[in-house]
Amino acid sequence: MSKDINEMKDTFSTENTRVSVGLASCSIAAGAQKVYNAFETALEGIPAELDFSGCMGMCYNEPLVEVTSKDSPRFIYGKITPDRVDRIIKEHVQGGHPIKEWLVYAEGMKTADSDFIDKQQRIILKNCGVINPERIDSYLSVDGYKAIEKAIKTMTPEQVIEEIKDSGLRGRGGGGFPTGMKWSFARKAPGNVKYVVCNADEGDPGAFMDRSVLESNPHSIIEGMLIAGYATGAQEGFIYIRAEYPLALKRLNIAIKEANKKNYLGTNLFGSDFNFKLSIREGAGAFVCGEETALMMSVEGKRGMPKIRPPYPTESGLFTKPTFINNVETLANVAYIIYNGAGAFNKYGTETSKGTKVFALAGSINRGGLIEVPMGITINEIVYDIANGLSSGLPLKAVQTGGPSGGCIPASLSDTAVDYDSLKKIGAIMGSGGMLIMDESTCMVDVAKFFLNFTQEESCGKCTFCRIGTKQMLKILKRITNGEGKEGDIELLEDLAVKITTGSLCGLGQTAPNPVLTTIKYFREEYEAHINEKRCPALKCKALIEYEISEKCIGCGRCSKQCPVNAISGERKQQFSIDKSKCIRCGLCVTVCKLNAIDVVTGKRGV
Amino acid sequence: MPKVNLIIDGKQIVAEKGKILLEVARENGISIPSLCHDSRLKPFGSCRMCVVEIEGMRGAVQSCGIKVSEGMVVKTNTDMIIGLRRTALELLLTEHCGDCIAPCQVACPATIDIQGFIAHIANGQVLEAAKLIREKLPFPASIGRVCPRFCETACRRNLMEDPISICFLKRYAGDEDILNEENYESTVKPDTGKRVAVIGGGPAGLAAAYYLALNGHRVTIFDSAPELGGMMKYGIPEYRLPKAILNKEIEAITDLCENVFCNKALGKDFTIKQLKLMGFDSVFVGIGSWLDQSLRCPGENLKGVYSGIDFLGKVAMNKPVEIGKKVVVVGGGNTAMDATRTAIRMGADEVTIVYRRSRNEMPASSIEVDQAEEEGVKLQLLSNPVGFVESNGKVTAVKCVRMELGEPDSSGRRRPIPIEGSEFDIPVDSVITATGQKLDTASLVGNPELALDKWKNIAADPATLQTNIEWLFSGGDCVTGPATAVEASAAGRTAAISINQYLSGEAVVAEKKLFNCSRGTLEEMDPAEFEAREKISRTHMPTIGPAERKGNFKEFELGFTKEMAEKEASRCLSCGCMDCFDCRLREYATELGVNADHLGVGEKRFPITDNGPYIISDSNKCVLCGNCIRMCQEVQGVGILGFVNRGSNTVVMPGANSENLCKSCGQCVAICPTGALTFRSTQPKPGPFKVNKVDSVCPNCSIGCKLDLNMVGERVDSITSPICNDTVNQGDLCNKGSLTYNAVQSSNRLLKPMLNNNGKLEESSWTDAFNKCTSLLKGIDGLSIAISPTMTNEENIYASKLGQLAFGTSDIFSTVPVATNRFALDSQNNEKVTFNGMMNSDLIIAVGNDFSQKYPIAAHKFKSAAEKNAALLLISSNVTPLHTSAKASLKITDKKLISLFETFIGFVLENKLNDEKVSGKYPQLIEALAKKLPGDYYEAIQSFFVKPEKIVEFIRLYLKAENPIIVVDGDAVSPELLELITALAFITGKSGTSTKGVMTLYPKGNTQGQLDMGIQVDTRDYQSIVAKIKSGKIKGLLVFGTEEELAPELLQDGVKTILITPFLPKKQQFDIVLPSATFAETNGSYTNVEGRIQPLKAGFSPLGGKNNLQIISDLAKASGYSMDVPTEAQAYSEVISKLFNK
Repeated sequence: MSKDINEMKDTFSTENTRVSVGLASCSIAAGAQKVYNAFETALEGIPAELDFSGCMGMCYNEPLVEVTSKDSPRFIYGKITPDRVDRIIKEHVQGGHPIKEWLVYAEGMKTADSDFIDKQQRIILKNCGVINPERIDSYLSVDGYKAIEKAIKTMTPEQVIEEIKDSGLRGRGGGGFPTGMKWSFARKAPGNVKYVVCNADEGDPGAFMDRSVLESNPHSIIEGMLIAGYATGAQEGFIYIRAEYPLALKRLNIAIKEANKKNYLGTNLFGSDFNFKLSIREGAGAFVCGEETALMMSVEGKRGMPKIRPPYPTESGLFTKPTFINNVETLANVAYIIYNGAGAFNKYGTETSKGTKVFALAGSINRGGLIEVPMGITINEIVYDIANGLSSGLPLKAVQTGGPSGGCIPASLSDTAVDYDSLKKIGAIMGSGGMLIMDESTCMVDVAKFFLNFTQEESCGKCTFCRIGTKQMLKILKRITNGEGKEGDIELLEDLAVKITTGSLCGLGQTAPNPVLTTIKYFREEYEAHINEKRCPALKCKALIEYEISEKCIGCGRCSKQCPVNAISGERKQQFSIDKSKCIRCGLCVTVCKLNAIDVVTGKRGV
Repeated sequence: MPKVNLIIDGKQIVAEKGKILLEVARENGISIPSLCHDSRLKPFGSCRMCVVEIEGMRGAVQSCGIKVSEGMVVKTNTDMIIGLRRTALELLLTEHCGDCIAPCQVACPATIDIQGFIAHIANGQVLEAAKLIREKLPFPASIGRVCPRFCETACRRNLMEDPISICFLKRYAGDEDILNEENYESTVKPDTGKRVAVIGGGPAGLAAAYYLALNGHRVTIFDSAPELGGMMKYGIPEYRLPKAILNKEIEAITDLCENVFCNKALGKDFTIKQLKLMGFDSVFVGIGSWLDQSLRCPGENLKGVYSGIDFLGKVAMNKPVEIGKKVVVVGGGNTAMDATRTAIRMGADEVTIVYRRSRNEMPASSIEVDQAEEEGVKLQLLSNPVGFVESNGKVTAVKCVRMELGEPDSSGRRRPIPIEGSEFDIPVDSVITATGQKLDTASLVGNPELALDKWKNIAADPATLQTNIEWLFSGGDCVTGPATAVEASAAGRTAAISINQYLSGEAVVAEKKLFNCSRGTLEEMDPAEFEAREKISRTHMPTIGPAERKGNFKEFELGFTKEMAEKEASRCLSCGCMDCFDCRLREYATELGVNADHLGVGEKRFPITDNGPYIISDSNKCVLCGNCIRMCQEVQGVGILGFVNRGSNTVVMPGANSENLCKSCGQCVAICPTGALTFRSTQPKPGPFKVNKVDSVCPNCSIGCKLDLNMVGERVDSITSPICNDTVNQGDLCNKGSLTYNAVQSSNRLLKPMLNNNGKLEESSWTDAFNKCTSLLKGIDGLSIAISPTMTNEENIYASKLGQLAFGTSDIFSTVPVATNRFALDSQNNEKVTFNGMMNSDLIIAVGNDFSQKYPIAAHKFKSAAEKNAALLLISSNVTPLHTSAKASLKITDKKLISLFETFIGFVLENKLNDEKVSGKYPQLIEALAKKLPGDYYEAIQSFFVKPEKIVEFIRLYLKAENPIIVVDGDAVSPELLELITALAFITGKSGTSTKGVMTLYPKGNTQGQLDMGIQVDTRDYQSIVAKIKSGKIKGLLVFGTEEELAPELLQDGVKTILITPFLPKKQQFDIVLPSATFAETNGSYTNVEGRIQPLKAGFSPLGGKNNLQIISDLAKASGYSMDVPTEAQAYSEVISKLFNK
């Protein structure tokens, strides 16, 4: 049982003090680079080490600064700005007194935010936000490259594959295919030349698991690929990464260079005859290139378009050679499993879903960020314990997992366990790890439209069902949210959805209708309200709502001043009114009214 | 090849293992649709049409990507699969914008291919136009005079200025057809022995009779009137439709009938039942609506009151009718107008039309109302007769009431309401009532079981026109009530189709309506789209002025001249799609009964790219199958097309610099499943036309690509190649092949003989030309004949006979000399290397620079062989597009080639790598070769400025290969080199089968045939002929070929030259020039480089009037030797016996 932070002792040693600023993309966006620079100046002449790390996961608290010293626990400060740097140095670095009110996390102690970390189970993220991603020594200090050494020196490739099979690891990119099985197919594939590819083309909107791992612990991916190569007989690997991840790219490049220099990559690794060459291929940001056959086309320098299967990549993949593709997160587990044994991994999780899963939490929640949880945890635990509930105070309406390929889980099913099979059973999918939490103010038709808009824009344009089918579905969703929905539209959506699912060439199209299908499944009445009553119950669809000023209005005129289209008028100190023909339903008036005198109403017109 | 057993749709099938399921299914007669599959391309999988269900596999499996395997159980037509296919099509259509057929054709009751016949007229093929119209309507001249022109109302030109004068163009075609009676004949199918009675000789009956007779049925027409024609004859006055014209068109129909009985009225002279008893297998009733609708006011029977139809009929039959000077015509339809204008022509002074609504509501066509007014008629609108005033039983006035318009009625027109107390009288001498007719049901007496509808018309299935009596069909006015002649004619044709089905024992079903994608009605179109197009005013029909015409019954519309018609036809916007006859999207949409309203059709999103020299691209019709992209990349190796953008914004676009890279092979157009890519027409209007495919062979190189001449009448519309494994090219063509049609009908074709008159060529007649030939040939003793290798085997053999027998010369040579092989050893008699063999060879060495340019199809073969299992080695002096497919290449200048092959042979002999059997049999050969070899082998190998090990590697690869083929350009190498290369293949034992040896390509279609026919083809022979010319031994030259083929050294002063050529010569120095036929006008055969003898059929008659064999025969005659023109069979047997006797 961890102690409350207020019961913590006040003074710690200042010996070997190390200040580490989290410098991942999310941190930098929140201003962490400035904080780092401020520390750099302020720490001049002070016997403390300044370092940086990657992402600690607590995105809602960025920038984060960790201060440790000899014998002290990890102290993490959140929302640090440059003007707070002097006090941290003076009181904590020099004085040994942690500043309690700024602490978001103190190892072993209960803080306001400690649940966020403590409820997690970190395997992949264990060293993220801890080690310096730009120094191989930092990785080596946490047993880096020990797993590949163990594999080469003490295990046969078959044993490695067996170990991975035993671990129960399944592909974390979304498909959930057993990794050990994929490797054994690759091992059995005939031919001397084989390729292993790391899919780092993370494209789901709002998902950043892979980016975070690559920015925070790039060597773990290199090591995972080495083990994969050793196990399958592939001597060459490619990391396919989107060019929009410049920091991840930079850190990967440094890592590959350092690993080559130290002969963790190259020829005769660990004195064996195992050679492995690794290079990076940058993607141009097409979502479909996350699909493995399209990815291979892109690596070959062609337009990223999925190919028909068979032949499968393990028979004829990159440059017509056997190829197998693993996602970043999958590979990030590999070194852990080999080094610690399958048992250390499969003790987490459920019968069919072993280990942990990383999620990027977003939406109307108090704590958004990157989390790693054991498989089998419930949606409720994630939403209420880790994310600390909904930020709006409104009730939970639904959780979307799996991004645009996934489905919406209604609040009524929020005790569902997060594992491959339970999610699939209710129409959602595990996906690569995006998790969007929505409160009652969300219009589910609008959500479906949002995701479908994404997939239809990102369709590669090759096959009929995906290219045009999604566009037609979107057209129907648009007319529904515009108040022009027709009887039979829901059935038409369902029919098209089934056809697109069955008829599409690749996973993108096959899963694109999922958000629509699950929202219809769980929120059909909301669709019906839009179509039959021209009503948006969540008050979101502009075409279906109107603003009205109630008798609460005291005629202050704030709303009238703010209105960008001069739709509000009235005598001062008397009830104002809105000209509905002018109103563009931007909602500014509601925001500025202090008396809640402006009501949003729906369902009046057209019924 | 190992076989596998599988089941498709319950059918047991044995197939080659590893074949694509889709192709196996199709080969076994199970059709699986696909827009993106082509056997020549790698599976792609974009259209998703070919999905099937396979036992043990989840969901829908793509049959174009999966290979057949043992025990596979496939279902191609489950509900799930059909549903997916239909949705896929509906989705494609939401992005597909265009008109399958033009709106005019959609509007035409007879569904005439209006765009097609107008294009024929614009292109000067008016008889083709008439033929096309007669497929749907047997009265183009008559209907072209009287049709109410539903088509013109729909014409898109309405959005610009005025519609195309479609109806008058139809009349023009019909009139021309009548003038050219020989073209009037129709092809009649063999006699079926079935008898059909057609009751009623009006437009419905006549059309039914025509199309029934064409199908071989025996037709008897019965009509109650003295002559056939029905309403067209008795209802439409002479000045609009001259009886002479109508009779001509009727005659063409009755000529095909077994019997015609006039003055025989149904119900009076016979009953339907009797006909059945008389042995008619089926009966068509088209008796029209001849009974007048009553005015429902008293006095209709007074003297001086006529019904319109009765009145017009009497006039038509020249029966006396008394109408006096003041005439009132009641009604606002076309019959009323006809009665009015007839009355004027009969001398009435004052003719008044009484009509109860306003002018806008008049059912008559407005031009007729205008013309009647021009002729002096008065319109008494918004008035209705309520009674007649009489004196002595004769009408003296019409009592009318004024009307006002109220709310619209069910017909959409405003209902007229009488204004109380507004009665007035119009004094008259006579009244003609033309307020409609109805079926005279009395004529159906004796057939109580024949069902009538609620309007007392004959009830017939609207789609098949079958009545409730199985063998009885009915159409025209007696089914629909009074309508137009064109509708009646269309009904007659529909009934004929149904009757034909009935007589053939088939189910009587409506003709399958082809799916039609439409851009919408005039109202739905954006007029802005037409703003940029040139406005051209409508051609006016020349007419006789009202003053002159009102006094007689002469036709007052005089008809278009050729110029007028062609000008008017050229205004056509060609709205309909050029691909409508073979669009797969349309075919599948028809097959699957797709409803385009379900998800809607696409809107125009892209401009049409129309600036290329040969190809028009309309992305609005593209279904993104990717065929063009892959054809260009995978087969042609050019790769200028690609997908651009993502999602639904994806389009196919050419890359930068594509104009320079495009080879205009046209294969993207050929493979496009829709009308997104089409050829630019060389004609004023592109059609579309249904083409007649004529077998031919490309004359442009010796590969022997199979061509289809796509003929439209006497014109080659385009050239394609059938996709068929049995042909050399298997559907592939290069630009030379696909664009050949331009040359054969170019403007520089020579059409008449030309004679030299003081250094200038002047046109002459054939007779004069042959007379000149006679005198010229008599005076020459040393004569030589040059023949183009684009001429057929037959022409070559007869030209050479001409030389030998008539001129007594053996100097008969090819205009295009090449390297040939005189290496007369065993290898000559062995099997030749073939392109199929090449696919099984393991090494190809191509010697020469220019295969991709000069022999593109061969280059494609090299490429596909290289993709299969052959290593491609290139020996050339520069880098060519083929180098990307090559395993290795040697850069050697042409001059060094001989020494390179001597070095190869040297290597073989020095290392004793030659085939022992060969050396044992031909020791002299080895000895001779050994003598030629370089003294210092190592020095020689150094002399090529290539790494010596590369050269050694080359010969090693060659020796290692089991089935190597060396391909040589016979136009670029010397005979010595060719023989050296052949020797290499021979002494190493690598020749003599279809998969190993030497293949020599030539730049013209029939060089191989010339060799076989004993023509001197070799450059060495050619040089000796040149020497003979220079030395004066040859004093005359007879050339079958083009001027370009004729080298300047052959044209010495003092040598008399007769040039027999298809093209106008530029030089003037020839003595006589005769117009010859091209390959496209010739029946005969070519022999390709593999030795295949392939037939050519003439697509059209020789433009110069004579085919080449005829010219040869005439020339023989001119030189005093008798040589008959051989029949095709005779000529062919000459070719075969020549081959045997070689």
